Amino acid sequence: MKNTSSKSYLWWVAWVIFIVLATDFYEWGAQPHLWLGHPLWLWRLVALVLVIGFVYAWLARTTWEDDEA
Amino acid sequence: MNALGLLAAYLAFLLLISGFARRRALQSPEEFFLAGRTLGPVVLFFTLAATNFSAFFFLGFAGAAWKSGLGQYGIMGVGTALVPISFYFIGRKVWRLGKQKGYVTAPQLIGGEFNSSILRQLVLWTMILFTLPYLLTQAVGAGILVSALVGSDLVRVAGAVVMVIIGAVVILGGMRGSAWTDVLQGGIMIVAMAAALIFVARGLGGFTQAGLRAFAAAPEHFMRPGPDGYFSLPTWISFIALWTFVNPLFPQMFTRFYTARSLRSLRLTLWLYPLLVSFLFLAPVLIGVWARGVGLEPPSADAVLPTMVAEFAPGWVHALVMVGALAALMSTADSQLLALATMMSNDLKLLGGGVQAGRWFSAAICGLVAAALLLGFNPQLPIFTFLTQTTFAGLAALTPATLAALYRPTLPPAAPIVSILVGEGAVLAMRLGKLPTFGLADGVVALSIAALTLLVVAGMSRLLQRQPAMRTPETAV
Repeated sequence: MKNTSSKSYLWWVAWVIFIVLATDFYEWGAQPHLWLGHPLWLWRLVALVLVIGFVYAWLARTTWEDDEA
Repeated sequence: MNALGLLAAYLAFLLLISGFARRRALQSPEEFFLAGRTLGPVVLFFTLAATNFSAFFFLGFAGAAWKSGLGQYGIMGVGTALVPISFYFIGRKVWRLGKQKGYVTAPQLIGGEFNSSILRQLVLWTMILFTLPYLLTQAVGAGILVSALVGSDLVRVAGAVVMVIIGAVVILGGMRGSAWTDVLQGGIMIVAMAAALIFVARGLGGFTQAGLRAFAAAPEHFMRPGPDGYFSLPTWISFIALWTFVNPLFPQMFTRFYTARSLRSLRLTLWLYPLLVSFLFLAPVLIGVWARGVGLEPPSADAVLPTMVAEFAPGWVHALVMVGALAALMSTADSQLLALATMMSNDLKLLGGGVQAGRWFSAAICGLVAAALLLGFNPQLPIFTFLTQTTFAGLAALTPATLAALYRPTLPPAAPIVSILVGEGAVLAMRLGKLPTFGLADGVVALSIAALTLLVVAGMSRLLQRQPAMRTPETAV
């Protein structure tokens, strides 16, 4: 059995990083670059949401103790 | 198939599924209230998603984007995608304690872990206070949707009829019926939103063209802080963070953590949830902003998505979208009804607390809401408007007490009790304009104040407990 509970803090580290990545305040008020008719920052947010899913999947695998699942 | 036929088929399927669930649902209280704690990963995922995504996701979301721009995807999409971290820190613990100690509701767990009946009643009435008015507004929303679908003004009658059907789903099938129908309703929501996006884009000359037209007409909708300056930095960050702490505290969401067959079921939802959100939340935001490109002037912000679909998609897509919106609404409303009935049966301990109590409470609540609508009750009364507008903040104020129950149940019960009272007081003060929010979401301010209060009261209690001991000769030596 893996000792995984000590890695639980990784969830909060990831959570804070995602919020920082979503807060692209330096682009606010600037003319957006468009891709497929929509601003690049929107596509970045869509990609970020997908990344959240993959990172959560990885965290669930690595921090969820074997005897719990 | 016309709109009325689609609506009738959808409602008939709901009742049929609940009828199938009936035989198992009535076997025991645990079966009725929690589906016997046996929901597998697929059903659990759909029931969590369908319960969480209410009519706002279908109608309000597009309207909000129409007003404030594409930034809505940031605060709602990213914020909701982050929510599953709470499935890990709250859901996992709730599931395990439920298995070990037989908990069925949130008040039961929070009060039980602190061994405090006062705390249990406080959590119970806070949850009821913020859920019941929400249920009433859902019934009104259902009336508006059905009226629009059939093309006549039947808001009160249609709302009452939908409420009775919601009641029948719960009374017949309990949690199992609610969860199984959530699979159907979640599926309809996904298909309807995908169809809306594809056909509206096609009607506007293609996906890229739809965006370019909107950008030419309203470029500020493609930027933050948006045309109305809504997306300030504090608003942006606080809303993204807020949903993580609010969503699990909805009683209908909290109860679902108990229903997982195993933690493996819950684990799957952790990553499927953001994947669903990535697309599903994008569609209404895009359609809402595209409406700017065609100069749409809808009767209200909530009408943006149905009007766009009616204008630019075939009739059957419009019918499907309206049924999808109704499915989003009903899947949340039946879960709210069951959660209320579960809490009233198990925490108030009236009518014996068993299956029949749950069924009677479900019938009484949905009967009350239906009667209120038919008798001309005005859901826009200030007290109800206040409660529905403060639901998120009011439930966020419960989060510190919940986390303490899960991770520090040895704290004195006074800490979570005072934390909740001060947190709810802060919600009231913010609404009355007596407490500044500095641009932050009300819920984040309430959550912070409740957390700080909990820490201060717990620290003071520890200090007071230590002081007499320090005066004893042994300690002095």
